[in-house]
Amino acid sequence: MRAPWSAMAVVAVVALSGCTAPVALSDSDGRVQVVTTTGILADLVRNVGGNRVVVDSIVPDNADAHAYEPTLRDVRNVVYADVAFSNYLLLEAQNVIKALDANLRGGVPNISLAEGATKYAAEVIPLVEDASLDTVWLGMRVRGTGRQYGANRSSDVLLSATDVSGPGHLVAYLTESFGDPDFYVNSTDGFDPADGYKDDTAVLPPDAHTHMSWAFTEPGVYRLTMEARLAVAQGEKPVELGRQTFTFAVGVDPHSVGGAVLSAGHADIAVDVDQRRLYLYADPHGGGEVHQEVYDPASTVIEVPTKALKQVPSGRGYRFLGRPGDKVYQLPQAVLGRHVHGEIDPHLWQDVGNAQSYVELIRDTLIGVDPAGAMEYRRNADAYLAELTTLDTYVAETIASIPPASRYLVTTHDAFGYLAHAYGIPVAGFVTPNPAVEPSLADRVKLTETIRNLRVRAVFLEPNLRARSSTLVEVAKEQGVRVCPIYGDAFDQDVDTYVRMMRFNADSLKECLS
Amino acid sequence: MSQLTNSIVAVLTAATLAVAPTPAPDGLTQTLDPNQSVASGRAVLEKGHVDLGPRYRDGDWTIQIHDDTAVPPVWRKLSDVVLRVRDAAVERVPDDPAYAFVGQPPGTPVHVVPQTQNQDVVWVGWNTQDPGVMAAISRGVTMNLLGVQGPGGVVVYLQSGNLGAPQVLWDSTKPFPQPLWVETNTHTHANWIFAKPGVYLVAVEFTAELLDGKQVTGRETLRIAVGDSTPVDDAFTAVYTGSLPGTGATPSPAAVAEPDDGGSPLLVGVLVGAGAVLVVALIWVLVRGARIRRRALDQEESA
Ligand SMILES: [Zn+2]
Ligand SMILES: [Zn+2]
Repeated sequence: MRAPWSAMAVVAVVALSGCTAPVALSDSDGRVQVVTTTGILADLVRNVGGNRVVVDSIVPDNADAHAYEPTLRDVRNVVYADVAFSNYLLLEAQNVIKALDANLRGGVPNISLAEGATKYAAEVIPLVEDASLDTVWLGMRVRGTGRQYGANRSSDVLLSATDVSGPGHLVAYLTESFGDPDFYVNSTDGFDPADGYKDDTAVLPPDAHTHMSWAFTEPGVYRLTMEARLAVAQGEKPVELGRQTFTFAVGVDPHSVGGAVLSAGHADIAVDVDQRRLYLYADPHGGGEVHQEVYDPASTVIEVPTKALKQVPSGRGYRFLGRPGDKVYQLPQAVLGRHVHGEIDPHLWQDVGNAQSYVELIRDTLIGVDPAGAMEYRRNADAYLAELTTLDTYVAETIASIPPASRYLVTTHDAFGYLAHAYGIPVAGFVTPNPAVEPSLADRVKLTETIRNLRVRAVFLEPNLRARSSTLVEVAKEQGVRVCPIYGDAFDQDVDTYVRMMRFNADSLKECLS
Repeated sequence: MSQLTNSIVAVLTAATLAVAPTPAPDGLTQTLDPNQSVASGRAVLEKGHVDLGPRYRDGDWTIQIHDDTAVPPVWRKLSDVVLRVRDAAVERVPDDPAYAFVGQPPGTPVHVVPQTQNQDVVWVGWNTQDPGVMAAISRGVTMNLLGVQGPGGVVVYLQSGNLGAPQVLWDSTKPFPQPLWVETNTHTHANWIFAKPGVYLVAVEFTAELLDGKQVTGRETLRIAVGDSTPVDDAFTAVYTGSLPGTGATPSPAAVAEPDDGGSPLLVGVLVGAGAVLVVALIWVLVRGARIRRRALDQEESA
């Protein structure tokens, strides 16, 4: 397709004409010239555009979009483009986006698929900025007013820990403004019925709610017994409100313990004053109390994942958790820091439903650039969307057939949140969030613990990151587990379409984890 | 940081004390100043649970204060409210490099509004739980600090309790704006540190994308009187004189941080029917008893 040239663009082409690499796009071709940032996006565009378009991607197969430096050839492609598609949301290296912004001719649509797809019902998930905060948020809560016993806002509900069993210690504590700990439950010095469990008791008024950190010193299954009393007024005999045992799977597979697993969202160990019983009150999906529901502690496991593994700092005041450097598994008291920057995980296409949203946006964009092809774009898109629906079912069924206790994803970079979310395979760990970040010793320790404690059968490596992923391969070797391929952001010579990639990933997960 | 033009370094008058009513048993402390004809809607909140947050009603996006110290809780206009941080909030900056971000030498007394409630200190958080907001937006809001005027620095930070360093969310010594992402249907409290007593004006903006793709934004000024000897009237009348950065969508003129001129009739906070959702919300509490153990532990540590 021919388009008017701006003087600037002509200059750019002249300046770059010394470049000898073949340029896919041109101004002497009747078709719509499309540039994309990645090969995956190029494949989606080809499926919608068919014979009416010629497509090239800036980031080649086998390269890493997070780190790619555009070449002069890429810049020439951009100059010829009639439309550009990027994923955006910090997927591509800054220079890739800059190459588009600086060199597209005026008026050429520059579409961010990840951003635009939300208008086509794509489901986005926030980027996790600190994996140790990406756990269930566990607190304590008093439900009900206790009015039937004459209680008011100044009455006390006492929630006492009476016993902890497990391979290590359990400490529930609060970190105050200047770092001082305040204890709710501390198993390191036992539980003393003689003083009414005074040192292991939280005192809350009716209808109140608070959150604290939950630290465990060893991996394994813990059982915490709590009982509650209502002290209507000082000096009055307290009303017994019941007793319950709560189960935690710390660093180990929670499914092997049995029952429902609370691994995300908001949960409270709740005492219901009006019903005189204790239970878990949780919303696995949400933050606020609007959608919380009752979970029976006898058939529910609270997961404390290995991604919440930390080392005891050397600073003051942490001796109650162990010596500096000791490992501690911990649920945090506040989870806001999980994503305070509001960024979205850019790897949307790992959920086939989101790829369908991309396809719809691509279809409508191409129709806008080339209205004469509208019918063809619609027909192509419909056929491809149907193929993607079949693909979605295949991926879902294949992953669902992996036994839950083995269904864990350990990768080298954090690119599979959507796969995890859409198809129910939890991300148990990764080496670093971004392939550009060098792994620390702590990252390596965490990875090792994850593989060991969850008895992970295989870890998954993106072929294009093999050269830079010595940590994953080494740790896998030490632990005697397989390293299997998974495709994230880029194709290679074996897997060169989106449909093949998603099928390959599902098959690889099934084959290596079952 | 710019200084408040009309900041009066607090000289506590006996008269101010005399007219302040004793707190009601439910924790509501609403000071009605008898000396000003427009005072009927004004509230001085110095104890109990208070949240800043957006509301959405009939296409109107506003920033208000959710006053959970009232029974039942009410929403109030920011220009009607002074948050009073009493001297009960004073703590000393610890001798720990992890707290260097406070910007004050170890041992310096500062006023701290803590993340977890101190019963003697107003407890200020933020929420995105207004039912109108929850119905209108899908993901969350951007809560932006646009500027601070006051006698000293303000730092807002989070203790995640994951053995990591405190996470600074807002710091008045850093360039503005300072955006913070807040998910829908969440309720958060963080630590606020005020370096010096006096009147602080904190300019904030809440921006969100509605389900239909339209952007809404609102700006307001939070009025805070820090220290027992800071006259709350000064906080009501203080004027934000600095320029504010332009962020988010173009704010409607009405929503731009403008202190109330005091001449218009001030409304008492509007009662929310669905406010019950928030009533059951968090009354976080200080856990007692456990402190005894900590002291013992500290002694052990220093021994
Ligand atoms: Zn809770
Ligand atoms: Zn609050």
